[in-house]
Amino acid sequence: MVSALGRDGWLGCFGGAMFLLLVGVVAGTAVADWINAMPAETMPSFKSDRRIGSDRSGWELFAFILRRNLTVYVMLLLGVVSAGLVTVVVLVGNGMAVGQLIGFARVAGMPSVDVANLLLPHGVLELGTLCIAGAFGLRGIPLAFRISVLNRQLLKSLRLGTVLVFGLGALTAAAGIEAFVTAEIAESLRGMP
Amino acid sequence: MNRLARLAKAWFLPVAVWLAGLVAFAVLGIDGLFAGPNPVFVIARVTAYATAVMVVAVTAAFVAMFGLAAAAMLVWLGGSPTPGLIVTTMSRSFWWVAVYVWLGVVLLIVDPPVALTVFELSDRNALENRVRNTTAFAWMGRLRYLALIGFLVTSLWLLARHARPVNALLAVAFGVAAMAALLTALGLLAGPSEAPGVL
Repeated sequence: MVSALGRDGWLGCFGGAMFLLLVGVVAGTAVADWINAMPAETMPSFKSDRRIGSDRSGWELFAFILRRNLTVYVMLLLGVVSAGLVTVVVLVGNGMAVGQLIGFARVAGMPSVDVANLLLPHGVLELGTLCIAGAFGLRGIPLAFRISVLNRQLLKSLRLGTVLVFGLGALTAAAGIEAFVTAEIAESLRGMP
Repeated sequence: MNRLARLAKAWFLPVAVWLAGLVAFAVLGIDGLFAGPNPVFVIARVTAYATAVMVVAVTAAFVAMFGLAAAAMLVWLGGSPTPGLIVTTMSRSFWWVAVYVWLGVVLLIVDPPVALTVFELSDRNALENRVRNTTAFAWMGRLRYLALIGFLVTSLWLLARHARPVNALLAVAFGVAAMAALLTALGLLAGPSEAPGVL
């Protein structure tokens, strides 16, 4: 029983988390294309009062990104107590956010290399870590089916402590890269003609 | 007849009733507020429906967290609650939430929301004002406390039938504390008016 939630279960759930994230990315790109195809003259102009990264200092941006990503991380973990439901929604939702970002950048004529430069340095670590949280959350699905035989050993096999410590470390590193490396790349791209 | 009685006692019935009510509430509320073929409204509707799906998932997680925390406390106090008891307790108490949502549906039918204009969408306060001035949304805001209290009292009553009343009270209190801790942690992490999302 524990083996079903063991190493093989982890790999399957990790693959499932990556698949859900990819589904979200594809859907997000499609949504960006769909929005772009809408007749622009019917759209009113909006004034955004949201603070974006450019007006924050490096450490402020670091704290902002870390808090935001940790929120997503905790939400992904909640799937373990909701039969994976929260995890599925958050993974697809965040995949859509990434997909829309890529889609809108493409629509705006940004070269693929620039998009890759902006996303890859921190994105690989960040999204990889979120997929690990996603894998943990998706283990809520087999757990829900074994609820009648839930015991301490089964709960221990989830390794929540390891996942939390790894997540905190990896997301701190990813936030550091995003705040101090990606922000520099974005600034240099903004300065380009 | 037996099958009907079994269905009435099934754990998934209140959840199904709640889900059906939430779908009706979302359709009436979202399509009522963001009515029209303008692309801006289409995007607003899609975003609002995505938020409704998130509400379903997070509610399920919170109720499960509450149940797990209550069960953990009962075990710590020397009891031996079965998973079936916890699932039954949570689902029967959930009738309060299901009734609460359907009350909202009735109120939305009686007093449907006035649709926002395309210019109001660009005004941050317009949506808040519209929500405040719609009877259903205003009453839903007040009645949520009643639904929550009803949920907790029913949980306490059902647990007290299988454990000592003091232990059941402590279990419910611990469940509430766990939910409050989780909500506070998520609120602190997300910060003011920041929706969770990566990148």
